[in-house]
Amino acid sequence: MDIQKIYKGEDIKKLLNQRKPIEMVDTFEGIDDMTGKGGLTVTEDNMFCYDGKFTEPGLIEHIAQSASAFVSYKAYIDGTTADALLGFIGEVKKFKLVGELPSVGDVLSTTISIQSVVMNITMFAAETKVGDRVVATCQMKLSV
Amino acid sequence: MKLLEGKYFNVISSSSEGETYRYGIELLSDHDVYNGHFPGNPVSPGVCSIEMIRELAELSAGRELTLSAISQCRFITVLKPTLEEVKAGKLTIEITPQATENGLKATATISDGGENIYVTFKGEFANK
Repeated sequence: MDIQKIYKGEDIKKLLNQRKPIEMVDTFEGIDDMTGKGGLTVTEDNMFCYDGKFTEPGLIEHIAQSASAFVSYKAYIDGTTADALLGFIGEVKKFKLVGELPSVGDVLSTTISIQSVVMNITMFAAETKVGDRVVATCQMKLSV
Repeated sequence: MKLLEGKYFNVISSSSEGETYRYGIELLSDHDVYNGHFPGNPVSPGVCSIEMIRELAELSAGRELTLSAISQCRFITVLKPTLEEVKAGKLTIEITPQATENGLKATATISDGGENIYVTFKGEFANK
């Protein structure tokens, strides 16, 4: 099967079950076995925007969906699924907001680095940047 | 800043005991987020639980706060607006804040007021 490496637009729906108004990833790129990148352009109508800023829960949801997209992507590669997997946050650890919240118009880029996969639980570290500036880091457990 | 209060949830009761604030919560099942999370299967987003805790931390402190760090937040039981306990108005959020140099740190629990725990939270908030 021919697997895309980059997903955007409508194709993101192949990796995620979240729909409007909580679509918090608009691009995804598979880098290697353990690394993937989720992106999001912050728009004014985003449900997590307030006074032109993209707020904390939006950042955490964007990170979780970046990882969820990655887990679906890996499952396509492994041939274990034909549909997007449903991912739930099991645990958030060591979340740190760095500096100012992102603003409307900013493009978020989140690198997901998988640390371990045990049964249906994926542990990963995430770093979210706007350009060269780190805006958030965290670790999460995602159950699928 | 009230991103969700009045739209996604309402505070229906509040009390305090020692250092702990206790809020009775109503989840509004007609919020738009349930159209996308997930279609035909309404599940309360974990990040909305975190945001409820932040907004109640503001309410307890009487000032605006930014969520600056989470040392650990565990989602133990899936929360849905359609759960019997939730519809019966039993959803409870308890917060125990402690002042820090530039804000507060807090532990919080989301439960049905009894033994069933949905979320446990430990994190830090910075004054705006």
